[in-house]
Amino acid sequence: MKHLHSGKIRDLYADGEDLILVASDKVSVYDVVLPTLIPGKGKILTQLSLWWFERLADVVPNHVISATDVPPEWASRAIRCRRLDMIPVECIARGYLAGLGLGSYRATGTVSGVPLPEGLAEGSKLPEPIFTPTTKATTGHDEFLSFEDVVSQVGAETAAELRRITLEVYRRGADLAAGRGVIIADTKLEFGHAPDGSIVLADEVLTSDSSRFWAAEDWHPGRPQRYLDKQFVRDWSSTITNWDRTPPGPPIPEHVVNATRARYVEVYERITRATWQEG
Amino acid sequence: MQFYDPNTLIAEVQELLRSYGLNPQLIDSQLAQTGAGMMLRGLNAFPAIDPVDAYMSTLGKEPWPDADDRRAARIAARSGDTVSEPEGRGAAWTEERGTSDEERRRLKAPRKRAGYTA
Repeated sequence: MKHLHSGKIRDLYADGEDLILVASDKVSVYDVVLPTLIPGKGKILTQLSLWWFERLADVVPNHVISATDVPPEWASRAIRCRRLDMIPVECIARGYLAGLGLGSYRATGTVSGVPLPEGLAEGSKLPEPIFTPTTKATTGHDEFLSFEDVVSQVGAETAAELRRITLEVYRRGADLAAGRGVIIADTKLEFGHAPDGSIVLADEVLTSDSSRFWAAEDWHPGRPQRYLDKQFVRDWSSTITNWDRTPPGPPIPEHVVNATRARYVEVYERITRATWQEG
Repeated sequence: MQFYDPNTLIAEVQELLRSYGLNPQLIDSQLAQTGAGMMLRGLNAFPAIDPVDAYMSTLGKEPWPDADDRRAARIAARSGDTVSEPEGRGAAWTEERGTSDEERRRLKAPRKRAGYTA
């Protein structure tokens, strides 16, 4: 097992030709990883991603080789994956107006070149989900791409498939979650090519680290929406006045850790309708 | 299929231009990425990123919704608009760090596996 990279929240290892993605219990605010862990977060998000991969397998094949053939110390928090030739486009589906999508709409009335009706507010549900891809730059930040840009970059056939699959994954996930009290406002997907040229879903899927999760009962367009899981940490961090928001971050109080952990479990249980089993 | 990393191609073109005494600046990432992809496809090579490079990039960033919020807030602040950012001091710090450190590293040590066949 060769360690390749430690990211902010997840780590990457190689085992022969396979890659192993290992999710930690770390959490970040202000782009700073905090010293306190949220116990179980890595396992919960890994298991949620696996749950989605399984339910989306008829939409798109995925990169999962095994969730169990991993070192025992990473049990439940690691996924053994295929190496894919990664497509240099971040595929984002938005069903609600938030973040960069909101900013773009306010500035231009469009998102990634997709025109939207007038009068939408922060958190508004869009008439239909839209595909808002960005570049996947390894330096600097990602930029919005229009669909025509994606066609130019990867070709018409691949671009059309990326849009179709991204929107189908989002619709499938958002519809299912909506019936269980969770709004998936948007999501970011990554894809690669298998050796036969087919498009394969990679990385993670429909977790709260790749999507905006809002509580359906708290959804009120026209104001900032509250995140279903990490809001306790965000609220707490906004009250800290004696931290300059550079590393190292302050430790998270125990009551915030407990409340946040409970929310991650709640999201898992709401969506999967299964009781979270610690193990 | 044969693949080549468009980000590597962009960096290599920058190097080439510098060797001719020019001062190339990445002023439009979207245009450069699209152009690199078009050039590769015209040369019968598909634009793709080695998975290790791709994951190192993804894992080095904060979770996507946080990054999206932060960048939106920064752009809004620049234009005098407001977009809620639950926490953060703006994307500038992240972006500046990513550009400087990573680009320097890449130009000193080009990827060993930018191009390959599958």
